[in-house]
Amino acid sequence: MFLLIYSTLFALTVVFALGVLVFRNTVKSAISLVFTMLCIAANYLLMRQEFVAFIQVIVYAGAIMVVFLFVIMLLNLREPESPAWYLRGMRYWGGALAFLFFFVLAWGIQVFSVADLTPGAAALEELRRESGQAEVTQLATLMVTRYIVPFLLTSVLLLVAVIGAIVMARRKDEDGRDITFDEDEEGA
Amino acid sequence: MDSSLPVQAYVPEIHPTGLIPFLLLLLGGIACLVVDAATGKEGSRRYLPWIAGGTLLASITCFFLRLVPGEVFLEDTFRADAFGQLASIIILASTFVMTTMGPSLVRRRNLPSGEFYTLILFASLGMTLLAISNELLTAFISLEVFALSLYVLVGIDRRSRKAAEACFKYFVLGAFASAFLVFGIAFLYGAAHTTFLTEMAEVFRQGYVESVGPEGAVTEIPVNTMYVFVGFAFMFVGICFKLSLAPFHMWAPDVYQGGNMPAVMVVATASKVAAFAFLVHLVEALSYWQGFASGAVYIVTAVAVVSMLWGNLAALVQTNFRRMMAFSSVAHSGYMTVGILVLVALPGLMSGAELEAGQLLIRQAVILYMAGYTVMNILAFGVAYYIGGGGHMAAYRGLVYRRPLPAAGMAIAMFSLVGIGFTPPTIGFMGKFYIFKEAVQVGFVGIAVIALLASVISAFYYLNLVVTMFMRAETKPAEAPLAGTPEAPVQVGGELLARVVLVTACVLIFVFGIFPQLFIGLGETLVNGAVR
Repeated sequence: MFLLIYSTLFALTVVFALGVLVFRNTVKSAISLVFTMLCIAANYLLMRQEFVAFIQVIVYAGAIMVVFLFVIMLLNLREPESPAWYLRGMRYWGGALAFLFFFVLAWGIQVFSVADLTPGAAALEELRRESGQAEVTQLATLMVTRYIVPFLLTSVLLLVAVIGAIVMARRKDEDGRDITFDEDEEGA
Repeated sequence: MDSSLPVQAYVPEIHPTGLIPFLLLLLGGIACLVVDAATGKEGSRRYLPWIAGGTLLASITCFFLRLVPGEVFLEDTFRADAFGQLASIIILASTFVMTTMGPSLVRRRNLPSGEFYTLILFASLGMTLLAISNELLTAFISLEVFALSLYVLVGIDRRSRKAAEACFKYFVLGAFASAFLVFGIAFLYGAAHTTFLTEMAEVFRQGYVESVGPEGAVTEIPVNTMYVFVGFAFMFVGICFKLSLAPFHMWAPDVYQGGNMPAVMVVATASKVAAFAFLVHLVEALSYWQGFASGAVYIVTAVAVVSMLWGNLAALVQTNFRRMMAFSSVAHSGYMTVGILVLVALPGLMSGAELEAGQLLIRQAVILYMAGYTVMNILAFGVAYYIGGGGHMAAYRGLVYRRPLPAAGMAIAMFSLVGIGFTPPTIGFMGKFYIFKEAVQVGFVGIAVIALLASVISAFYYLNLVVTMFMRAETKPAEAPLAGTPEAPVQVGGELLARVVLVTACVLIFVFGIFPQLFIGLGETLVNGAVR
C-alpha cells in the first residue's frame, strides 16, 4: 500500500515536471510547476519531514509561484519568437546537460552514502523519540533558544531588503521629480 | 503551559555589555529612518550625518571601553578575540569615513539621505557581526545583511547609468556566490554535526562525532573527509567573491568604476575586512582536521597566486583610476590570502602551545595588513573623491601644481600600496613584511617569491600615477572639463572633517608603519582587560 502511494507520487512528480517543459503556454507551464512543488511536498511528508513539507508549500508553491505568475502576466508573453541562430542548438545542449546533471546527482548519492549525511534528520528523530514532540516544535524551540541570534538578525535582513527594494524601485525622487538617467560617464 | 517545553528552563548565558556596540548600530539605523520620516528632506540632510557618525563613533568607543568580552559570548554565537575586535574597529572606522563623505554626495547627486545613512549603519552592523561570528548561520545572515545594504548603496545614485549597471552586476553575482556559501555550510554541518566553529574545531581535533543513540548508547561517527573538503571549497568560493579574489573578481572593476566613490571605498575596505576576519576564524577551525592541509593548501595557493599575478598584471594596462584600484585590491586580497595559506598549513607542522603562538602571530600579521590596506585605500579613494577626480587619469595630470596637499596624500597612499623595497616606514611595507616572513618560516618560499615579484610589478602602475600627478597639464584644467569629473573640488559641507580624516589616515600610515607593535598591542589590551 505504502509502496503504491510512493510510486504514484513519484510518477506524478515526474509527469508534472515534464509538463513544465512540454507546455508551450507559459501559464500552463507555471501551473504545472505548482503541482510539481506540491508533489514534492507530499514526498517530504511521506519521509516524515513535516516542517520541510509545509515550508515547501508555503514558500515555493505559495510565494515563489505567485511571483512567477505575476511576472508572466506582467510581461504578457505570447508564443516564443524564433531564437537567434546561436541559440538554436541550446535545447539539445540543455538536454545533454540535464542528463549529465542527473548522472552527477546519482553518483553523488552513491558516494555520499546518505545514511550519515543527515545528522539533522537523525538528531530530530532522536529528539522526537525522547520527547514525543513533533519536529516543528523541536525546530521552533531551537530557533528561540540557541539560534536566537540568526533568528533575530533575519528581521534586520528583511528590513534592509525592504528599504533596498524601495530605493531601487521608486520612480520619483524626494522632490517629486521623475528619476531619469544623466548622461554621465561614471558614478559620483 | 506544558512544563515539558525546554523553553522555560532556558537561561541564556549572555554578556549584556558585549552586545552594546551592535545594538547601538541597530538602534542608530532605526533612528535614522524615524528622524528622516519626521523631519523631511532638508532636516534629515542636516541631522542624519551627525546621528550616523555619532553612532559609529559611540560604537567604536564601546570597544575601547572594553565592553565586549574577549572570547566567546552569547551562547558561543560570537567570538570577539583581539583579531575580531580590531577587525570590527577597522570596519567601523571605514564606514565612519563614508558618513563624512555622505553630506556632499547626497547633496550633489540628490540622494535619499534617510535610506543612505540607515543602510550605512545596517551594513556596519552586518560586517562587524560577521567579523566576530562563531556560528555559521549567524555568519551567513550577517553577510547577507551587509551585502544587501552594499548592493543598494552602490546603486543608490539612480540617475547614473553606470551605477545601475554596477549595482545589478554586484547583486546578481553576489546572490550567486551566496548560494555557494550556504551549500558549503550544509556540508560542514554534515561533517561536524554542529554549526558552531569552536565546537567544530573540537570535533575535528578528536576526529569523530559523538552521537547518543536510543537507550543512551554513545556511538562515534567518524568525520567524513569528503564533506570537510567539499564544504570548505564551496564556502571558500563564496567568500572569495566577497574578497574579489581571482578568478571570482569579475564584478570588481565594473562596480568600482560605476558605484559612487564612498560606497566603493567601503566595498573595497570594510566588506573585505569582515569577510577576511570570518575566513580566518573558519580556516582556523577547519585546520584541526588532520589531512585538511593536504587538500586545502592547493586550493588556497592557486587562488592566492592567480590573484596576485592577475590582479597586478591587469592593473598595469588600466587607463582608469577606479579600475586600476579594483585590480590592485584583487592583488592585495591575494597577498592577504598568503596569510590564510600559512594558517591552513600550521597544524600540520606544530601542535600545542607552539601552534597557538604561531596562529596568534599570523592573525596579528593579517590584521596589521588589513588595517594598512584599509587606511591606504581610504586615503586614495578619499583624495580622489574630494578633488572630484573620479576615474579619469587626465584629472590627476599636474595635480601637484594645482592642489599640492591632496596630491601629497595620494602619493603617500601609492607609495604605501607598493609596500616593498623602497617604502619601509609605511604600514603597507610592514603588513607585507610580516605576512611574507610567516610564509617563509612555514616553508612557502616559492609563494613568498611570487608575492615579492607581484609587488615589484605593482610599483609600475602605482608610481605611474605619482608621475602623472607631476606632469604639467597639457591644457588648462578649465578648458578640459570631463563629463562626470568636475574639476572644481567638492565644497559642499564636511570639508574640514574630510581634511581631518585624510590627514589622520596619512599619519596612521607612518605611525603604524614605524611602530606596528602599537596596533597589535592595542588588540591585546582590548581583550585582556575585557569586562567579563
